[in-house]
Amino acid sequence: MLLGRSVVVAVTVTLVGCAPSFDSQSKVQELRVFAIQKDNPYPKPGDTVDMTMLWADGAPNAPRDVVIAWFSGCFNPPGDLFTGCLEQFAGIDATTDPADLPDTIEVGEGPQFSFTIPSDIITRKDRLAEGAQPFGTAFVFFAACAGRLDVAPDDGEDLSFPLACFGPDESMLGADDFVAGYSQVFVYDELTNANPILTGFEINGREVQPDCIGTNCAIQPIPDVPVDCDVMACVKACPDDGAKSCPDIPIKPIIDRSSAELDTATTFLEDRELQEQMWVNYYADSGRVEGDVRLLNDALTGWNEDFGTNFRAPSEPGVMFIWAVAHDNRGGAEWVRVRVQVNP
Amino acid sequence: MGFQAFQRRGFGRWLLALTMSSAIAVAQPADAPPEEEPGDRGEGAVPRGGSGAVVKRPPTAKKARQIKPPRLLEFKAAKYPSGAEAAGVQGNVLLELTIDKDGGVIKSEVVEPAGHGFDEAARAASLDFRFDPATMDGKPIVAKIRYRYAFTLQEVEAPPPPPPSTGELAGRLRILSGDAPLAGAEVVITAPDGATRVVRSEADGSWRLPDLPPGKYRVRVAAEGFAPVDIGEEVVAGEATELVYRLAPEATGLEVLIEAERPPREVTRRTLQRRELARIPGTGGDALRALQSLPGVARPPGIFGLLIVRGSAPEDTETFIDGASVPLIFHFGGLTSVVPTELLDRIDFYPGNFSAKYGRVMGGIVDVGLKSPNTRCNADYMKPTDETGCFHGLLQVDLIDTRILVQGPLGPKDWTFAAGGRRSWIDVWLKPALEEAGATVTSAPVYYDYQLIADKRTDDGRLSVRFYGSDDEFKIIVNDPFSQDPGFGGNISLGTSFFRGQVVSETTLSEDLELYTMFSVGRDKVGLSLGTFVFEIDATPINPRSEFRWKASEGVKINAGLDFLLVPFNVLVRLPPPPRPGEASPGPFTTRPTLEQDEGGVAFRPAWYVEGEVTPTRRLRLVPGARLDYARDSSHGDFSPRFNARYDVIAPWDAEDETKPRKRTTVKGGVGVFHQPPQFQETDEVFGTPNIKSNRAIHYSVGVEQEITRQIELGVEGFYKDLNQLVSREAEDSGFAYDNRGTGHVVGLESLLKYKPDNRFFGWIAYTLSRSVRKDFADDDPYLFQYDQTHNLTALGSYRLGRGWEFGARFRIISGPLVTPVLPGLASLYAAEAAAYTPLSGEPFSERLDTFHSLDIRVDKRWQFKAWRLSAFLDLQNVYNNPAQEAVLYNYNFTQQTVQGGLPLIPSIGMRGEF
Repeated sequence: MLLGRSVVVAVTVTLVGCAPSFDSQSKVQELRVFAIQKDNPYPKPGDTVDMTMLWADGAPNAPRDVVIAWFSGCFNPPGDLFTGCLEQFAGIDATTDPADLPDTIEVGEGPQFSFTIPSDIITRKDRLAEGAQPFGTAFVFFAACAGRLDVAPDDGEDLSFPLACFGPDESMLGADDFVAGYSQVFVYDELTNANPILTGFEINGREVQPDCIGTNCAIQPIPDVPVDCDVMACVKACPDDGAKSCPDIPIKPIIDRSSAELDTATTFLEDRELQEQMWVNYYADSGRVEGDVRLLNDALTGWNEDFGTNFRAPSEPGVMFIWAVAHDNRGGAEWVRVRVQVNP
Repeated sequence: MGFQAFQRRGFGRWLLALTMSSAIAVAQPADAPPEEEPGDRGEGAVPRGGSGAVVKRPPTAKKARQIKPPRLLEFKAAKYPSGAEAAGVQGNVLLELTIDKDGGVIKSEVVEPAGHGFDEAARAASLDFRFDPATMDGKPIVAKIRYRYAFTLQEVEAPPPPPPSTGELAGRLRILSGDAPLAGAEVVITAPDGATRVVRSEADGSWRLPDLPPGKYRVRVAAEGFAPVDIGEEVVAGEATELVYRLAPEATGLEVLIEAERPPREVTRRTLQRRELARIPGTGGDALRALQSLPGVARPPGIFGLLIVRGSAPEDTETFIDGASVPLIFHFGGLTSVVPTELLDRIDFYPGNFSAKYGRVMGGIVDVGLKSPNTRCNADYMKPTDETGCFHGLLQVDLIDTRILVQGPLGPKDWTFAAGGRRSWIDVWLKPALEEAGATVTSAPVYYDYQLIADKRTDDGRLSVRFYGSDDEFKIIVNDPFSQDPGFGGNISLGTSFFRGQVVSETTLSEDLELYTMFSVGRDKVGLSLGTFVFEIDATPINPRSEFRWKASEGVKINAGLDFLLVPFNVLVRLPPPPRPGEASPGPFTTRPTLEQDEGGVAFRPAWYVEGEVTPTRRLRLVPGARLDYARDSSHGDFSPRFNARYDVIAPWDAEDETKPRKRTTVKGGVGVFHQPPQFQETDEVFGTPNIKSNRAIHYSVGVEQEITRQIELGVEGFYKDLNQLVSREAEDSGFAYDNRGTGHVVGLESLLKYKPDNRFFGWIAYTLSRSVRKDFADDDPYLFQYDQTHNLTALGSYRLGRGWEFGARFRIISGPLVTPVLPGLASLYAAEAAAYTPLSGEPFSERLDTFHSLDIRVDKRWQFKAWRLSAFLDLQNVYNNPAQEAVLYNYNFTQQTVQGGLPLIPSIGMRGEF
């Protein structure tokens, strides 16, 4: 019941407004990774998985040279936890001979990465998990560094990340300039899952032309063309710079309802159908987004029409960006980027 | 699957048992000191005199009842043995008299012979005594008393005095709890002709009324704040009748009858009496929250109602309602307890080394006693009388809930009943708050509970039938999922409910044999839904319990019993394996692989135990015992031997003159083995590893109890818990492998300086020093356990100011909670599928937040009307609004942190009417 108690207390405390006030996750002021999209969220054994990263650099001194690195090679770690992979990598340091690295490790650079799932990833498990569809897990780690990316010095910790980002003075850069993370890929023999389907974006109830949707946002440079307010998003600057006194501007992506699939991994709930749990993350590099995360589809109650949120304009005129990323709880993701002209 | 699910709060608890008291009156020597009776006594005074008997509380009794001792009506003088008279020998013979329901002496046995023919003479004379028989709840019963017959030679040389024409009544007034003198009380005697005489007791409680014509008198003793005494006494010409009346502090709520506790079978039992339960500041009058003010109990985080006893995890402590385990003890995890305080008689708390009667846990035991229905009649202004058969009612409204309670006689003869119910109000104010925050409220948080009790007392026992239950429900849709774990969004529902039907019987089979039997059956349901995660249990626990209590010989008693648990169940789970304390963060729940289990079955856990109570001397008490448990789910049996002992270094009576009380000094100690089966998920074939063994703890404790005054007592106890065979787990390819490689220990010192409740005041200062350590594997470094609290100091008191006002305060200063820091440098990794960061954790529980301190106060006011009573209370928690540190909160990527503050100043207001 600890979980239950935690839920009740967390919900109560958070919803009645006792939560602390940190900078919102939606406010992009530094180097950020938003999402990883796989061409197939539920690949099969032996498949090659193509991954694309959506990232942005919101630092004041952006644009900067950003190095993006990937490495795979951790399959079915103990407990199917990322920590099991870090323990495997704990012995790797700057002195490690690359020849000593496991053959399964694949590395890559740039916003896209591909790796191959071992064909025996499911059957190689000592004991197939009972109470769940037989599956395998593959972890792919990535790092985005606005500096020099290198092997991290040994800090004696078992769970530290093996890479670090160094600045011009060889000092280790922090979270504003270095993002490390992982993508967990579930592998099933039969189950399938598709990424959500985004087709556009609405601001103030009007559909506007997005800057890009999906992988294009990662691989195409940001077009340097003026914003056409007839078809694109234009808002008026707010002197209070996104404060609550600024007008609320409703925003939301346009998402196909067919994006919500049944969660077929569930096998025993015969008298009820569980759907995917889906949500939308909103980000903006200027102004303020009211809600970081909005429910898109609930496993039990279904589609939530009210998945949009409100945006409040910044005080400084210019061009800014809004991102909306739709996720499902089975590894699916899709996104849209909107360029917004903030007028005086 | 293992049914440990049903042993854990949150996975449900299914064990059920009940205890009740026997119904015999046993006597003690008329000149022996009374049993020390802790706590607030609601029962009437017990008369003592030279020819009177004193009811000794039955050693097996635990429940309240009204017992009136036999009173000598006709004295028969014994013939002085001629040989002794000629030799000038005097003597005292201690007799044990058995008095039947008609007041006749049916048996007289010499307990302490005097020889010289005194024994035979005294015994023969005593068989002609006539008594006003003892009664229980107004009904005559058979009783045994001890009577000291004194043979004293007359001074033959002195001229014969003129025959006396008057007698005398004299005596002492004492306060029932604590045995302190009661000064200033008014003693009114009414002669057979209606004439009255009045006297007030002196500072030492003594009073005297000489020169009274012979005859039967009515004696009334009244003192403010005490239940009055109204009793008949006889004045014999030429005799001075010495009487001792013990007045009970007047109960302020519903009348509570409290009997003496049976001698403990445990090293330490801390008993909170009713006034303490309802008046401890900062608890909102909630009885179970009062436990958190006792030594050995750690302060739980936030508003949680967790019981953290002597450095053990909350699930290591079992809570019973009258001996029966229930799946939850607090509504919504800590709001208020599931049984209203008004229905509680007492709470017994065993922080360790508990009786073999209890098992399946290795922490502590909390046994909550439900009160027997009160049918005692009141005189004007609710002064209790000796009459029974009256109804009582109560209605209370506060900010949290409304409760109602009715009790009285039930149609059939000798049956009484109590019926209570409660419903929360929190949905009224929380629903708008949640909706304002953007949530869709499907079912606002609401709880209710209900209790039905029917009791029947018989000459040789008691029968109790009970039905009680609880229901909590909460359903919302969160449209703004938590950014640090978006899986915590969407539908969130929590429902917990249980009910129990119980039949309890306690019967005196013979003089030396009692039988306690309990049978309960009920239903427990737990339902949790969170996004795609599901957890549901539906079980029907069946729990027979039985105990034989056999007095094998003088000073040797054997308790042997069984404690069976049979639980047909259905469980449905779809969850990722939850992390264990001390483990690194597994990442957001949202994207972790779920495991599923949907099965039904019947769990079976029988247990047998035997325990001796050996008292080779009145000062020494030895309690050896053993318990044998078997769990069909884990296919393991556990043998748990235990041994406890207490010795009065200084007895509470004077060896030369037992009427002279002394300040008791008791040393005590114990050692015992305690087993706790693995939790549900740990032996389940999907979530854990079948056939792992039970956790094991060896409790050691040694302590001393010292009476400083009759009212003040100091207790100091050191304890050590050796934890081994603890269930641990290790990640493997397909999940987690569980085994029993965990170890740990808890060491500590508890002290309690307590002022026992009297008519004005109660309070205590409790201090606990402890250290709780765990080690998951042999090669691992030990770490402080999650709930370790080094220092815990609580000082509280409550004082009756008069005119219905009572004021109380509680101050606490406690070591801050432990937290696990994140690593310096790169503090987190981005879990892309969840769009959330997961922390890279440092050493588990290696940092401690600031010390907690808080002042709580409580004010009660009572208005007494002729036929009913109105009372109101104001309970202020955290009066000076100390921003306690409860946890560390982080921003989305764990680069910024702040401290989660504790509860601010919280007022709790309520009103109650009762008759």
